[in-house]
Amino acid sequence: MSRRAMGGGGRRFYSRRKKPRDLAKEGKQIDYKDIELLSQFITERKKILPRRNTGLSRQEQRKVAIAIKRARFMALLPYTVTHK
Amino acid sequence: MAIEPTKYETLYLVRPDISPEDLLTIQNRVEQSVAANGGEIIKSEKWAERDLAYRIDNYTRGTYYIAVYASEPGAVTDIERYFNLSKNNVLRFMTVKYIEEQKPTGAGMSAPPQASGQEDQSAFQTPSLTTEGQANESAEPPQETQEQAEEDQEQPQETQEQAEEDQEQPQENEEQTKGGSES
Repeated sequence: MSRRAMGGGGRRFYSRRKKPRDLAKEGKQIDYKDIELLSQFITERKKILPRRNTGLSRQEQRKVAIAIKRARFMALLPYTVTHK
Repeated sequence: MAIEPTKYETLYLVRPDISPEDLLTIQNRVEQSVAANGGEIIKSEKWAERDLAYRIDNYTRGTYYIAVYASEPGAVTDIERYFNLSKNNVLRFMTVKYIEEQKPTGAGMSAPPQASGQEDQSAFQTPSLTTEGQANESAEPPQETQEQAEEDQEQPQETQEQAEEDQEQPQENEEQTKGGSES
């Protein structure tokens, strides 16, 4: 829960974690149907978390992002919290 | 060609009030397309019925079906063309390359996993999830407090009054945790 010092800017307190995370080592495959896993990488407003917060490797972040977008298309995950 | 045909996975979402006959024709059509292209169906089954993350054609619920098959790419275009024509029944569909279940590199290759079986488990855990991830988070703490209450009841030396007091305390905790998760 360490809050990183942010230079300037008012309301930026959602830096949740910068713990490195390796899904391959956890034995998890990144699949767009695995909503339980993917919802760990979106904000409350359903935005995709940046890599600085997910702690994923470049490759895995990319796979996760693509999986989230696929899940969104299939209506497994919302694009936003204000769907009409 | 000696090249092994690619494995595809098609997930398609049908409307919840689809008639069984229409559903059967869709499933048969998928199998026919694969067979016509010299492919082989590996799996064709219901994946989940769940609330949609957003409304599609005013439907808030839908049923997902999954088909895994090994075939030439012709089957994919054939199936997707058919889905496009039956838009009133098939709300969404997506075909991706089927990924076999793999062991993590660290664990070594000594134990080959049962490829399709493990994929199933991960697929069937997800339907129980609600679309809101927060709903699960807030649901967990009350369970813990219930366990505490049960433990308190099991202790025989306590009088009934004490046990009742113990039951009240977890309820207070429940409210606290709820408030905390909302903020």
